[in-house]
Amino acid sequence: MRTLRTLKTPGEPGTDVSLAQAKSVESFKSVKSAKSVKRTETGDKKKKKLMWTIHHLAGLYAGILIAILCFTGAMAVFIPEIDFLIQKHYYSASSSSTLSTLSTIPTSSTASALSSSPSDDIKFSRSLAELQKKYPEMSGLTISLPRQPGQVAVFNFKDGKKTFAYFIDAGRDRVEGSRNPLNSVANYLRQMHVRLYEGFWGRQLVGIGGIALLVVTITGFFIYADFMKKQPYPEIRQKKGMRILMGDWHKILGISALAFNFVIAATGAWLGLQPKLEKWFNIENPNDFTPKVIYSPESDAKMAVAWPEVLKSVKREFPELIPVSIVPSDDGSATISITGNIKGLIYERNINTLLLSKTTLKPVFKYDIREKPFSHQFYFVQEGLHFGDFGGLAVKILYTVLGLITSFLSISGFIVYFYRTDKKEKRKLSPLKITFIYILIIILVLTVIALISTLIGYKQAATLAAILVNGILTGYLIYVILQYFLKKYRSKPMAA
Amino acid sequence: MKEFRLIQHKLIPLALFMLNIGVIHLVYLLAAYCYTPFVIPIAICSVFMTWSIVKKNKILIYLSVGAYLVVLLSNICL
Repeated sequence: MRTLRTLKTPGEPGTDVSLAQAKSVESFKSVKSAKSVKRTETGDKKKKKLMWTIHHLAGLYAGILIAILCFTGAMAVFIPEIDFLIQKHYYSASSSSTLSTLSTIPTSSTASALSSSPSDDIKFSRSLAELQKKYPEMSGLTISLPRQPGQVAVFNFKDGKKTFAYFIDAGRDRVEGSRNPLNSVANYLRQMHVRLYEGFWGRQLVGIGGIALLVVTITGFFIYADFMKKQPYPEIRQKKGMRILMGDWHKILGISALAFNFVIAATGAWLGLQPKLEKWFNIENPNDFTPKVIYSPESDAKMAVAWPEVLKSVKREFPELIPVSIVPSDDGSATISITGNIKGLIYERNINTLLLSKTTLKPVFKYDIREKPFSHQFYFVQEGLHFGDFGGLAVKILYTVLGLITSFLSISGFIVYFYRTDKKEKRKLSPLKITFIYILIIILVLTVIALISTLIGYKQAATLAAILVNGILTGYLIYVILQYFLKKYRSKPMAA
Repeated sequence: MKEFRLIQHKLIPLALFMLNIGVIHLVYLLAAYCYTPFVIPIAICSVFMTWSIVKKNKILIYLSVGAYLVVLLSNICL
């Protein structure tokens, strides 16, 4: 319209020539804009195709890893609860029912909170002295305090090369039983999720799995519109075959759990690659503190500690801290490290620290995450967000459900892929059967490793896992290289 | 069709993304016994977001997501 007006005003308004000129300009412009629209459309299509290709490749190559990690992660969320049940029912180890835990301490630092000191109920001095007599070479002692009524305190330590875990009734101060901590179900779940039970580069593989999930989540979000088209959310087309059905579930569940997947993937990628990234970029753990060595390690280890006084001192110096573990030094620094949580905060477990002097019971170092800068809080929020360890059982259940949904996304993605390529590949088994066999094999492997780990030993399970993980990776790599050269070899005579 | 695309392909995913955060935020506050003044607004916003997704209404989605963002930011900052 603007061009028409400017064309009419200078000379003869409304003449045929000017009108024709105006029309030609208009048509030229409309053609130009149509071309530019087409160009942007093709550009958009190219981008979406690229997004789909990335989504497809990341899902295809890392889908199984993502499914395993999400499945084990959904169970790993409940490690403390599972361990508590095993201690109670399998080892018949529990603290006397009158015992109140330190977590029930009111969080305000008032005098009343200090006077009604439930830490007086927690007793383990006699049991510790008893075990120190039994294991004179005891080192690396960690005392895990009960976190809920009825739970036992656990002493983890080494004697020579052997590792021990003793359960203590912290109400009656009595040894209730013991186990090898490495062979526990809790350790299996943790090791399987954190490093696929593979010690050499399992953790980095898990980090790569996290990156793959992040890529799949982001690309999935971008291609969502292209695959939904006229289909409204959350419609599932049930009568159009298994491929469409699985595709619909994949899209609807994927978009419904988008934020959760994004958070889990980003934090998981960081946690998996953390040791290497910290090494490469010189990132230090924000709550690291090395106290001065003032005694010989032997005299430090033999130094007598008044444990009830230590617990009182913790409440006096750091009233909001819910102590979870206590580590007396045996390196000559003569300190006691008390780590724990502050109620209602979303951070990694046991990062709040109070370091007391063994001799004076005065604080040597205090790390309260609430007083630290944003960089520290950001560093420690990763694990809290990843494991859903900040909102009790309800958040854990939510995390488990969402984790299983992510695992299902991998499965449904594979089913869709098998259906899509079914005609081309001419497989003997149906896509559903193939997926079922894959799932069965994975569950079988996870169960066998779990059984070996708990019944035979950690080392044997880790060896089997290392053989499997590295064997599968090497075998797959050889297969891909062979396929590539075979394709090249076959295509050459065809071209000739 | 434009309206359909905007709501189905952009606004509903956005509302679902915020609803994920909202639900976990709400459950966390309730489970951690943090009965701050934000619990009720977050609960209302979560219900509002769910309702806007069910209704598939552009204005409702804008309003519910905007309201939750305001509550979330105030909870973080205050």
